[in-house]
Amino acid sequence: MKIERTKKAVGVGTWYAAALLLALVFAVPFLWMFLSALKPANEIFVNPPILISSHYSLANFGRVFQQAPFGRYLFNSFVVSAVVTVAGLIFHSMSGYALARLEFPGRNFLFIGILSTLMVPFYTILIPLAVIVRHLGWMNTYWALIIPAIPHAFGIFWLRQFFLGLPRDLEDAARIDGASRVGIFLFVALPLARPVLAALAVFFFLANWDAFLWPLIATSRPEMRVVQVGIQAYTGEHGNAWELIMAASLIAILPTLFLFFLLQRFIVASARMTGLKG
Amino acid sequence: MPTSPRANKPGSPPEKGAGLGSGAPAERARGPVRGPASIRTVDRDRREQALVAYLFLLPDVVGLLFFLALPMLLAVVIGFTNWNVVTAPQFIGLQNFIRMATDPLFAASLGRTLLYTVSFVPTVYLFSLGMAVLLTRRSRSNVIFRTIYFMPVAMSLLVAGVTWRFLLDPNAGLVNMLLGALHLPKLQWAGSVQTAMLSVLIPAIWKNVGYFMIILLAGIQDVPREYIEAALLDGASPLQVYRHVILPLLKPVSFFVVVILTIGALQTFDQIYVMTRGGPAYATHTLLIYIYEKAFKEWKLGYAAAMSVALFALIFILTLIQMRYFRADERRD
Amino acid sequence: MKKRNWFPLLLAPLVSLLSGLTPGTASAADVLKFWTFDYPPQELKLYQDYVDAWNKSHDLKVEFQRFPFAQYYDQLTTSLATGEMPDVFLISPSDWRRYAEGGVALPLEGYLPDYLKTDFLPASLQAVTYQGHILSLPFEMEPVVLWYNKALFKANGVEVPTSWAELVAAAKRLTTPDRFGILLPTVPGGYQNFIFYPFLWMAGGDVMNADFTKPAIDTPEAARAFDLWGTLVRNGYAPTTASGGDPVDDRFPTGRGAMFVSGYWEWGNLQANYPDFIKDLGVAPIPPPEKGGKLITVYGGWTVMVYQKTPHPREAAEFAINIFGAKDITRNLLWSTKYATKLSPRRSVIQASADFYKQFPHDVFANQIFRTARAELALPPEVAKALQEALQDVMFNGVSGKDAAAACARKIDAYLATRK
Repeated sequence: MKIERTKKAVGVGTWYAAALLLALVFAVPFLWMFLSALKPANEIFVNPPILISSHYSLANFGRVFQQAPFGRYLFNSFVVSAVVTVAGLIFHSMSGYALARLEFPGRNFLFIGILSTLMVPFYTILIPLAVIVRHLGWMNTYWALIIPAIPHAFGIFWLRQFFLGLPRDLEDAARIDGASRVGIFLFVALPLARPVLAALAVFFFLANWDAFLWPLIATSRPEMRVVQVGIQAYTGEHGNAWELIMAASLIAILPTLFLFFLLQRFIVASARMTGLKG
Repeated sequence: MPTSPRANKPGSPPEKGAGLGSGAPAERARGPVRGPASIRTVDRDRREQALVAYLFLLPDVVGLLFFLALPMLLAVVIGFTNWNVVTAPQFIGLQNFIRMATDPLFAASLGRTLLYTVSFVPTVYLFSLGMAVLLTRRSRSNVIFRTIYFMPVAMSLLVAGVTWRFLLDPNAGLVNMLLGALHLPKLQWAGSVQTAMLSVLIPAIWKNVGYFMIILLAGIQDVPREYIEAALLDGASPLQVYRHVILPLLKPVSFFVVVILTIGALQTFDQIYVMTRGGPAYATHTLLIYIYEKAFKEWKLGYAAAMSVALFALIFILTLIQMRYFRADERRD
Repeated sequence: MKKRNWFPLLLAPLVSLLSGLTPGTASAADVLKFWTFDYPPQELKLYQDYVDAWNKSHDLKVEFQRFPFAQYYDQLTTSLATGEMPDVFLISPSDWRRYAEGGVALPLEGYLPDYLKTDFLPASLQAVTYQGHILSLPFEMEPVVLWYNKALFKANGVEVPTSWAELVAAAKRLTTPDRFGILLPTVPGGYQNFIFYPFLWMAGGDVMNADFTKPAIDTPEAARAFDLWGTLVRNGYAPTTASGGDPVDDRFPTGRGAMFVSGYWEWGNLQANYPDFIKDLGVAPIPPPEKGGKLITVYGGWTVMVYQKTPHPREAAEFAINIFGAKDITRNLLWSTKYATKLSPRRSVIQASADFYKQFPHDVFANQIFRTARAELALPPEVAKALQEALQDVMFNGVSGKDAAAACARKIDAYLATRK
């Protein structure tokens, strides 16, 4: 018994040490970015890095907002990301559920078809997509940024995989109680999918918040710019303004991290809440 | 509380396929009611299911058809032309594909992409799985750890690229300084054709494990950490724990992760392009960099589209193989 | 049976979309679209003020749009494909030729006012002429030089090199574990090619013949230039990786690189970010292979192009020409001597800023470098790629200059064969 406890204590100790070490590896680049955002350009690439500098200031952040309507970019990105996330969660959970739990002709065909849309690199369909969106007259509108971003096989695929793993008894019990298919989806399956939905919310938001190439191509008016295009605007003919890129990126990273921080308890808490673990 | 994970799933386990879920339709309606009256119920139920399914799928399918399938179809058509942006495209049959077969740079780029994929996919999968398993428990420290591991995911590619270029600087970079302090040989990283691939793999792994950790975390709820620890203390090897405890319960989500990772790796582009532009001397020149350069730098859109079709076919076949593998393994319980 | 009905449904949009793949007119709306990449605020304002002034005095309004520099060309390519091309846009020599060959550019010679024709330096117009047509207008010239660190030269007893042997010796002498003797670009691409041209030309080599019908690179002269770069990199006198970004390299002003082959723009970077370093700054022409040999360098710079299919050619040309070709050279002076340091292809601008060109380092550029500068080669992308591969092979694969030059010539031949 005692040996076991010591063994366990050692195990916990090693695990913490490993987790900390890994955390350090993960945090160092981030730390460098953070410090760089506070530094003048000439101190960023000094090796070994300057940690104690008399030049730390928030000036770069001020310049980010002065040189361009960065607030507007943040707003655009937020609108697009929020709408796509909400719409995506709704549509993809419906699709994922249908593919996993409902029987209908053509199910496998549809699943493979949906999956195969992930297999073409975006650069390949960029020009055709731009042609289509232009024909729709959506260039330079929120439509162009939002609508084509909603359908995406990633979320469908993941939710399908999740719903496949649900025990059938829950559904059957609800059937006997007279619940409809839609009712089971809404009141049995969806609540169980909370961890996946929470994670997907973070991912969708992140993916659209980080979207860059498509917004660049679909909009040419300065007022339609999104955050990532705004950051790329500090790349230049004769080198990039790294101090501004760092500062702008740091601002841009915060909403996603905050969202993740907020939602992660749903991602990991489900087992206890549903009592599935038995 | 933790019992055998297999015992966790009484009744019908998800035996119908992480892959192509192909449950017989009739089985779905298997209920307590039997007899003549149930036939009508079964019929109605089947119709209802199909109707609900089609309605549920409608918005996504329409969107995918219009904004992904249609552009894909166009790209395929372009692959049979000599379109160069400035003059109207002409159909040239299979010429692009024939050229591809004899293009040494295509073969080399494909080879490099496969090498990248083979290194990237298992590493990220195992790392993120390990991290997910260790971070399942709700605790304050785990909240912090999870957030730290997730941070790279949120970092912009441009910044991640330049950060790692800085850390992996062959002369004064932090990583080489560390290697020096440990009396290990310093590496040339992106400055040599031998280590360049490693210098783009490390940042890619760093940036992705947090993402897949989250996916696995969301799927791992039925595999309590205590149980894994108990198994390890009982002398089970990590490999055994993985095979007998984790995998059976994580099969659907593992399949998802592996497929997504493979697709992502075969299409890898941005991170490498930001860091090395495919250099030095093509050492990190992946297929997608080649496709991008052909299309956007040389305006050979036909050839680029043809290569994309080839890449699509490759990914499609690999996905089918993965599908089979994951399904075959599933029928264990 | 049912499936067949899908075909017309699918084909109809396909056909209409494919027809959209042929470039159409520039813009449907009745405005002129003017595209640049994102400049720093001052330069951007210069363009914006000009556009505002134009819009006040003209019925046909101009819409000014700009894009991140890193993706500017992707944006142009996509716009060509979708028919969203701007009426007026900036283009650089590295991509100039395919726009010229593709018939994308409106010939401008018919619109040029007389004062301007004589004000342009003939060579600068020659560089933008294709089959007798002036296809874009130059407005800046940024020559490449050898910047060096005077303090390090003095401390190590090194003189400014005047031949390649001296250059290699100086680089060797100045190299320490913490410092490179010389900084050259490492990342494959157009910029690396650009910095290589002076070396190639001074050795007596070239990439192609004058009318771009034959490779000219498979020569001992070109091999010698390749070998110089190979020697510098393989011996560790020059770095194998970039730091920060290629065109500006922080290793130079921080003493971790003693010499730096770079352009006039470096001055702006040093002034803004490393003012303390300027007292140690030296500038010299890139040395020729042999002492006393002919000095040649390269200059780069963007030019203004008008879309050939613009519905308003007259107005678009007028707008494009007057950005930097107006009789009033206020904008040119700001551009060349105030907001940035760029030589002007217009004589009147250089003359008007005589005082400016008496100061260091502008005096060196105006008096010494300028007359040795040739326009950047506007190579077809396939040829640029062949050259890029040769350079990378020499620097990173241990390939000899001779073999690299031969391979480069073979690739150019293969490309030329596909054009017939």
